[in-house]
Amino acid sequence: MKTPVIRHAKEKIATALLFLLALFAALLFIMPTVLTISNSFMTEKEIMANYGAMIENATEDKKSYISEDLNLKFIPDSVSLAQYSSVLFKSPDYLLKFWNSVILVVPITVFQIFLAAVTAYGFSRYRGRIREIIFFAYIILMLMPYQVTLVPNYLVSDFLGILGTRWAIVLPGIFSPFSVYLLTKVMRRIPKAYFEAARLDGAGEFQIFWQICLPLCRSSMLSVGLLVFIDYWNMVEQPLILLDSEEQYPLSVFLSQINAGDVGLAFAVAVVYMIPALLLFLYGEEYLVEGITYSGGVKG
Amino acid sequence: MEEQNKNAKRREHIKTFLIIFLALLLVLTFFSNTILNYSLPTVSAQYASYGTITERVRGSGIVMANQKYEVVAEGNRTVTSVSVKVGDEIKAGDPLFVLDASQNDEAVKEAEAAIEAAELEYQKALLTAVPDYAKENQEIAAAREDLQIAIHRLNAAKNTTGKISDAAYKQATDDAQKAAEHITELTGYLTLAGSGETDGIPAAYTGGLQAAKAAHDAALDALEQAKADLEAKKAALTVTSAEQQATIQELERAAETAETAYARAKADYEANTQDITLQRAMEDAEQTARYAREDADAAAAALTGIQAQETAIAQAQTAVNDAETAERNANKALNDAISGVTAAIQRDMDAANAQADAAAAVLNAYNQQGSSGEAMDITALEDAVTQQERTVQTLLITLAETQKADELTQQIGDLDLQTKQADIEKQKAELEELKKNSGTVTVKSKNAGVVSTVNAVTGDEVTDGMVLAEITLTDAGYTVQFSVTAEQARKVSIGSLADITNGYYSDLTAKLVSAKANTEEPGSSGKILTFDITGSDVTVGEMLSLSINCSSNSYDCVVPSSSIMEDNDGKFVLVVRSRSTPLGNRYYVSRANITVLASDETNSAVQGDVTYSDFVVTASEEPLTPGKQVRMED
Repeated sequence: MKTPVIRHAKEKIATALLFLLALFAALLFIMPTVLTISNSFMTEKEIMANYGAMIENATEDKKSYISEDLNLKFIPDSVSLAQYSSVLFKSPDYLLKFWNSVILVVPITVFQIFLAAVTAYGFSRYRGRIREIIFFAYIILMLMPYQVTLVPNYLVSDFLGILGTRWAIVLPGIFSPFSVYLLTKVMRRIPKAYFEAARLDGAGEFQIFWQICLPLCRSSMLSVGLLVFIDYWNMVEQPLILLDSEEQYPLSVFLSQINAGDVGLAFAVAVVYMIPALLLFLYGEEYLVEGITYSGGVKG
Repeated sequence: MEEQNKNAKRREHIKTFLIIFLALLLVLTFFSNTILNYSLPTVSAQYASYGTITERVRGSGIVMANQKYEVVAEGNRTVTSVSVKVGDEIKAGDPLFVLDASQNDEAVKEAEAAIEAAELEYQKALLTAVPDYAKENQEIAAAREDLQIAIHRLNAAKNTTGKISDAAYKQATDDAQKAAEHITELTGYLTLAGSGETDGIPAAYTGGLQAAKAAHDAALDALEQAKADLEAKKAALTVTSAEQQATIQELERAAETAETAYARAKADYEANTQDITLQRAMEDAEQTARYAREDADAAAAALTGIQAQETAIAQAQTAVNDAETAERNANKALNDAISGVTAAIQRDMDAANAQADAAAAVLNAYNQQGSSGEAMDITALEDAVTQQERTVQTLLITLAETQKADELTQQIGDLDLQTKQADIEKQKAELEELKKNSGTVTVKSKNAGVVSTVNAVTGDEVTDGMVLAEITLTDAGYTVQFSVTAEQARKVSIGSLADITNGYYSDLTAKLVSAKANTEEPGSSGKILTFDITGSDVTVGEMLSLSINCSSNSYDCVVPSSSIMEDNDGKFVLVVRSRSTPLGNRYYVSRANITVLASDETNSAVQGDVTYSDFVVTASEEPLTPGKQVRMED
């Protein structure tokens, strides 16, 4: 029989090992972000010196770099705001792309939350065989990767005559099974007594939805909105396939094509692009935790 | 509760920050285009277009004189003054330098005196007596005479072997007497024959002579007769055949004239047979024509007689000539006969002389015999002859030896003379050399021109042959040369005028005179263009930049020459490309590789990645690289 001291020691060691593992994993995940931020303070020459071999080999034959070795460099030789200066003052194209992203993502997020809330209310309030089938279809759809629905999306957009416009991204984006599923789960947790009380007080269905249901789901909606925002903020495939003009592309597309663009600006642009998502996350951090907790909580 | 407030406050901050961030980005987006435009390099650009390029071939060369004249120093001297400087214009005969070498004057005088002495000695040697052998020859002649006498005596002694008798002596005396008389007689005949008086000479000598004389006289008579006959015939001929022919011609013409007149009169009459006047006129004319014809015929008949007379005269003349020839032959035969008489007399004279000599010899021998009383010793006489022969031989040998010795002496003397002459020549050459290096000389220009270089300054020691100055001959013209590529050379034409592009020259013209292969760079296909430069402003050594027009051609794509750049990959221009953006057109420069086909002062015709409608960058605020965004000039 082991003594409590030994057991205590073993637990401590295990904890330490787990901590180290977690630390390693955390470092692994945070490293790209740190690298992006630190490299955004480098000059273009320094970036070419460190990553030129990778970038230029992928694009052109002409060589303008010295070292053949790829060098992950975290600390700049001399801190420079040249990249930020270029991005903010001399790159209207990139700023426009930023706004392109905003123009695409904000309507999707807003309308998707609204529609998801309405749909989820329906799913949570009404029961029956048809509802179950539809809900099941939603779940199936949710489980499918986006790429599966891309072709139908393309065909439908073409049919509707919106291919090549922002509507081709916004409209499909508005309808998202994931948000519906999550909000349905949250709404089902709301006690029925609340709705019945309201009905007894003479409230109509919309009033119940708007004044009872939505305020109770606020944190969940915010967390869903946050997830949707981040999801679409980073979209790449949809603009590439559904938009014709490069001028309509969001900044995320440019970041994915960093090799072909201005390498010297890429890191600063990435940082700038990161800021809204980060601020939104910080803003809705609590709601996010709260909302997800609700959705997987006690069945109501 | 406090926790919730804290969270709410944090969210507020974050929200504020997000709003500020977005607002900032919005503002920056609004102004970023403006900021960008001000940060872009401004470029000037213009369209490439169709156009005509008049190409020019350019080059620079140094003005060279076609002919130069080098002023060369004679002898080793010191420069005492320099009268010219570079750039001076001089005429032929202008003094250039004064060179001095007076320190050598004394040596020249000494050398001249030495030459005079040597020449005197040479003249003296020439005057040495020419050898004279008159005395020796006289002696030899006397010895030979003695030898002849001795031989004669010996011969006489040999003929009269034995003692000469008194009878023989007497006979000899008679013979001598007769011979003398005969000789006297013959001498008289000879005198007569010489004077032509042959009558006194006996017929024995003059037999042929008489016959010759008779023949000569007969020939003379015949000649006289022939001459008389000729004169008579000549006198009989009053009119020559030539005169008669002239007369005949006149009469013929008169007859023809009369006949023509008759023919006309006849025609007139036949036209009007009733007119008696015409009939008479016709009859008169007929009579006149008949008489004239008769006269002409008579004259023609007379001509035959005259010609017969002339033939007779010619025959008489031939007879005279023959008679003269006969007379000459007869005269010659006569002279021969006279000579034959003289020769016959002379032959008898020689015989008489021989006879007299023989008699004289006998007499002489008798006389000598008489004195010695004995017969002549033939051996002694032979010895005397031998002795005399030896004497002659000895004298001849002596003379030959003397001559030989004299000849040798002469040859030695000749050698001495040659040596002396050579010495004199050598001394004279040295004197000339000395003279070159002595005295003060003024070096003058032989030609008119411009002084291009002066190599000596006052005080310099110059050596023989040293170039003191170079003079460019203004009359011979000036030349500029430079090299061009073979392609450029093909574009220019000989005789065309080039523009002078550096500096302003009032009357300077450059004319292309030749394009020859560049021999200074073997293997290159380049050519050397040669220009004749004329004008008053020409300065040798000056650099002239020339530009010569080539032919004009039209090209599809002409761009300003200032827009063409060149790097390791070749020539290129930067073309402005526009890209449409939501914020309007953006302009980028892209590289277009080209080949320059032709160029003039400002524009170039190009071929390559640029077309005539492209916007080509002509100027930029800062260096451009392909792909760079630019701002167009307002």
